[in-house]
Formats: sequence, C-alpha cells, structure tokens
Amino acid sequence: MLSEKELERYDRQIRIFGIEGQEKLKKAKVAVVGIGGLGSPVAYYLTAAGIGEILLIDEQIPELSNLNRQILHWEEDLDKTPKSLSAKRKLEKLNSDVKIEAFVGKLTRENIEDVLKDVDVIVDCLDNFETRYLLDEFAHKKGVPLVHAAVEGLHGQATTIIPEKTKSLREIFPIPPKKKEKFPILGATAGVMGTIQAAEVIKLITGCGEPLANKLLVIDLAHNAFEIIELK
Amino acid sequence: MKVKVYTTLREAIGKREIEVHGARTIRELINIIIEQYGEKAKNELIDENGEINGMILVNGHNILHLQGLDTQLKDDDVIHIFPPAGGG
Repeated sequence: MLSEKELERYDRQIRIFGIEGQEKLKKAKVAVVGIGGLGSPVAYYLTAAGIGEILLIDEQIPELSNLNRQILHWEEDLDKTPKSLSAKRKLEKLNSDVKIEAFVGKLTRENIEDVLKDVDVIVDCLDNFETRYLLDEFAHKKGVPLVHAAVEGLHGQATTIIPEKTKSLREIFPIPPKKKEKFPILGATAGVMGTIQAAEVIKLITGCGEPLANKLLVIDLAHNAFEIIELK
Repeated sequence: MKVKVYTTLREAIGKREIEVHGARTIRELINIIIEQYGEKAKNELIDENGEINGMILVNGHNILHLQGLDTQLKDDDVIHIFPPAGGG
C-alpha cells in the first residue's frame, strides 16, 4: 500500500503506469553494478522513481578525472569515499523512502550469488566485459533480467537480456571490445545511455512498454543517430 | 546488399548506409569497402593484429555464430557493422 505522501510524490508517473505499477516499483530490488558514468544516472532515476530497494556495487574511490561524468560523486568525495558509499549518501537525501544498500567490493565468481541474492533486476553499468560476462552467467542461472549498456566518446549501445527469452550478452558480444585504460567519454553520453537503462528497469518491473529484448539500441550523439538493430 | 555502418566507421565512410554489389562473402565485402573508402575505413575495420574490429551482423545474426569471414552473402542481405563500446 502506498501512503498519501507517496501517492503525491509519484503522481506524475502513476499517471503512466497506475498505482499498481508504483506498488511494483516499491516491492522491487534492483542492483546497480558499477557506480560510475552509467551507474550515476541509473541510480539517481531509480531512486527518484521510488524503487523499494537499490543495491549499489562498486569498489573504487572517485578520482578527479571521473567527475566529468560520474555525477553522483562530488569534489568532497575525491580520493576518500568509495563510490557505492558516496552515492548512497546522496541518494538517501534524495529519497528517504528507498532503502539503499552499498557493497564496497568487486563482484567475483565466489561472491556473486551471495551479493546479488533476492535481486529482481540487474543493471550493468560496468567498464569491463569480464565482469559483464559474469553478470550474464548469473542472470541466466537465476532467471534475473539484465539491462546492459556501454559507452565510449559520443556513442553507446544498450540491450536488455531476459533469460529464456533473449540471447545472452555473450552471444551478442562473443568478443569483448578491447579494454582501454583511458577511454574518451563525455558525461552527456553516459547520461543518455544510463537514463535509457533506468527506463528499461522501470518498464521491466511495471510491465509498461516494450523492453529492448533482442534489440540493440545504438546511439551516436555525434551524428544524431538513434537506431535499433534487430538481433536474431 | 545493404551495409549499415555505425559511429566511428560511419565517420570514416561518410555515410550511414552503402549499397555493395558482388561480394560473395564477408571477407570480400570488407575488401570492397576498404578499396572504395580507403585507409580510414581500413583502420576502423581491421585492428593492428589484422583482426576484424567490432561486430558484423548478417540479417541480425552475428557472423561469429555463422561462418565468420567466410559467411556467404546474397544480394538482398542487410549487413550491420558495429563497433561495440566497452566503457561505463
């Protein structure tokens, strides 16, 4: 049941998916894996939307060169507060109804089952395919949807993996792009792609709209291109 | 056949989509594109080890799940060449 305050707070989106949809968001637990350029807008919008429980996973500490895009981390957090804790502090101030959990550590084959237990949706905001493949395996093993995005420069891609229904992330990307230690990235690119991921999560939970299942959304801000590749 | 290109390859080729005729395999298609669009396109398509850069789909199927560079092409195929991003 939603309180009067919640009905008012979420009024503008309840007009999209109804009180029932809002209640589904409140009951949901979402894991945001990586609280960087993508993870910041994802966690912001999911918190604002009133997801019941959000688990933030990251082991890194913000550095100065992160601040052009990782908008949940501020100058005061530099070289000090681990990203998941830095994000938790702000998100709790944004929406005290949402339970924010922080895991300061890296996901591994050994800890993943424990860390991600009871999660309804996983959001891939990582910067490497090694851990992405690990999330993919877990998602398929447990039947949990996985919302993928990745960015570079002014472009990015997104797709939603639904076990039993879509291809796995590894099938779509059998060869990972080469990992670059320092890759070019504009904050706005991560903002666009992360916001799409947040919308995907909300669509999956409320049942509203049509997720990017077996569809690869490619966005190229340099050429104003938003395109869908149908994956078969 | 229709070849749709994305992001950095689009920049190198200067178009979103090109029409290519006569390529029997992906390998031939790549050679034709490099012949027509030169060094810049080559640098986007092939990495320093001579391997293909990015993913190639024929009618939505990744060529790595088909016959790779030897995947046969027909004139009505739609090919997507897309360099995936990896950052977050």
